[in-house]
Amino acid sequence: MGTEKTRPESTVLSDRQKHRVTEQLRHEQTTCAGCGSGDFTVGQALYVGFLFLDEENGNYMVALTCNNPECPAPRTGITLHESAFLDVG
Amino acid sequence: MYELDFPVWIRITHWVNLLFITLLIRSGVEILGTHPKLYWRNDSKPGTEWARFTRKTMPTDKLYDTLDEEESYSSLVSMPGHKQLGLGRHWHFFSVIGWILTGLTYVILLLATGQWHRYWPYSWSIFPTAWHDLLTYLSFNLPPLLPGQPYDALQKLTYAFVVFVLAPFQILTGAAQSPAIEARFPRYVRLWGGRQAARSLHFFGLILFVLFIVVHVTLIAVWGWGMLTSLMIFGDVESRQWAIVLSLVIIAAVVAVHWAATKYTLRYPRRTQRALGAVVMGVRKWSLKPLVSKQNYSAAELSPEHRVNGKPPISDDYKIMAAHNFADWRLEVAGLVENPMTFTLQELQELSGTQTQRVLHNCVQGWSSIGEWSGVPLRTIVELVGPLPEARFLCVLSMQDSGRDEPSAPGQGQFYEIIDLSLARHPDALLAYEMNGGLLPIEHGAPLRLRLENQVGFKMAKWIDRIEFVSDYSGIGEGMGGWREDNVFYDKNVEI
Amino acid sequence: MSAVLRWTGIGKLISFYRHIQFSAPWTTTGSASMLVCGIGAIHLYLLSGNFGFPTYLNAYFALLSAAALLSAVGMLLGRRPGWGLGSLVALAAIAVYVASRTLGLPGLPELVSRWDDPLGTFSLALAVLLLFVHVSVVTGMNVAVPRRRDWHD
Ligand SMILES: [Zn+2]
Repeated sequence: MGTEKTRPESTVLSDRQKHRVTEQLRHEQTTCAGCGSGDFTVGQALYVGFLFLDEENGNYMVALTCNNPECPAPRTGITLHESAFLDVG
Repeated sequence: MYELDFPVWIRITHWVNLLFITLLIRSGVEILGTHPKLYWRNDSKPGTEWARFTRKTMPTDKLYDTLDEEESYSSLVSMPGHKQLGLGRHWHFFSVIGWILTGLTYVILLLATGQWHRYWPYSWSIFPTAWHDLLTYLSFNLPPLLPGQPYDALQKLTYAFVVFVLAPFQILTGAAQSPAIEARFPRYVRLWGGRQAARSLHFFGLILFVLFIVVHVTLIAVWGWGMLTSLMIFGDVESRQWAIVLSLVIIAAVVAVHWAATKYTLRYPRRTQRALGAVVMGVRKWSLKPLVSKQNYSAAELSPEHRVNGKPPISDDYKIMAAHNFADWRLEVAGLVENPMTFTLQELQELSGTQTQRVLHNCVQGWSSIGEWSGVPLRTIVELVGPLPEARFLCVLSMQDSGRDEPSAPGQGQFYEIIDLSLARHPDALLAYEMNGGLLPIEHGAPLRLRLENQVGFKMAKWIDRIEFVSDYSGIGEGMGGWREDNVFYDKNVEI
Repeated sequence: MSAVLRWTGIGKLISFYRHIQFSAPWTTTGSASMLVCGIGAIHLYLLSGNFGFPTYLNAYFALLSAAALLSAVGMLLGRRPGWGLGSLVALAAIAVYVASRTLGLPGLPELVSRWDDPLGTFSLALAVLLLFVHVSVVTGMNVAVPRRRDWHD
């Protein structure tokens, strides 16, 4: 496997963008629903603003993987607006 | 010389034809209204329609589908009206069976009795005579009848055209819109210029039929309503007064049948679906169902923009799964099988015998697009799990909750479709995880969708996560064979 | 009035008209210019056929044919006045024909009530069709060149 496969709807994030997501997680004190840990690896961002009726334009589902090796459900995600983590301008 | 009178079978088929052709016209408008746009090219690309019968416009910043574009027409012009495609289809296909049987009876009896002489152009001179007849009509006079015949030359040519050209043309262009026929005989569809050209031509045929009826009825009145209806009711011109009354009674009866059938259909849609469906599906079982796809479109013919129907599940579970490229997704295959199995997406991708097909996709609503689909043949999965002897159907379940995810379709609950086990063994039945060479996009059913190339689109469930083998589906949902069958009265086997 | 429209369903049929739109600018423009040319050709035939019409009528035929040709060219070049001129040609053809058969034209009383003229009926039909096409362009059912539909879906 190694390299991540990208879905047509997904964007690979730069380190800077991932860092901004992590800051958001810390700011919102997001914890893992499976184990309660707050330590995540940030993955790709899926643009959901266009495809899903309940989402506002500009929304992304950012993939998060819980870093706790014992976590029963390590793959989770957070919905963020593009202004919160994508570089503007 | 054969006497070209009006024997009883001509009179009966004439009035029966009136009933069926008007049912076909109204139900045809219902079908048109479900995708009220006409195209020339197979891809039905948004904005390329040459005609549209709607005032709706779609958003550019949000996924919409063709269910959002559907129009609700009045029952005055469509049967049954009010956005009931499923029921309109039942009426269209039921009526066309009756119409073809009436037409065959008529043509066979024409040939058997010698009445075909009434349409036979004995010499080329019929064309200048018809031209002269036209000038006579334009001078508000009536042309002479051809010697020993019931019509003038123009009428003779017109009737011959309607019976021997226009009616077969409508049947042939109608058949060219059947996914089963398109799949089995792709060159036949090309003959008409493609699926959408066939649909547009079918629409022109409708217009010609309506024009014919208007002119026909007008000329009956001009030539003598009493005399001609007397011929068409009693076979002679002796009872003109009675004929005027009776002809109006017959027309009123046809209108009454339309009115009652429309009312009944709207009030008892399930009973209508069952009754008409029994006839229609009985005929399809031996005519269209056995057809297997032989199509292989070239890569150059792929539609740049493949239309969609149905919207993705809005649950967070689904979105998170998608963001992780469906690593947590599983396909469960269970029910009446020897080895129930669970597959990850990667396991499906690693199964041997990946199949790719470039095919024309037919939506039940009338649009089409050409796409390339790759995945596991469904029969591979069938063989792996080993159906028990009593298994007869596959229930394909989707992660879509239609009530929640698809506001443009009335109804609640999880989307599912039932297919026959025999259909699952068709060589072109495919569980696709790729489209046009890339991963299957979410709006097209990621991570896994069904492809059934001799069916219309709604049978090809998207966002699949479970396949159950069953012996009977009467206990599933409303028991009609799928979510669309349950909620919008479509038919279970949709080879057209 | 609106109650009558609703009760008879005629209101629905009228509103149905607004649901019909075509994207065929060249077919629309082409058929309109053929219709107006047809009217022009008929009047040119009347002018050239030595039917012994009075001079003023021959002058009218010549004027109408020229206007028809101008209108057709204007339409095909995508000029809006071409359409207005076409409708004027159609209205004039209808008015003069109907007048000749009802009121009578100076020097041609014998034409009164002579409706049995195929060419006349034909030109009436062309004129009515042309007016219909023009109305359909004005109301937006059709578009004429150089306009195009801007449909995204
Ligand atoms: Zn965790």
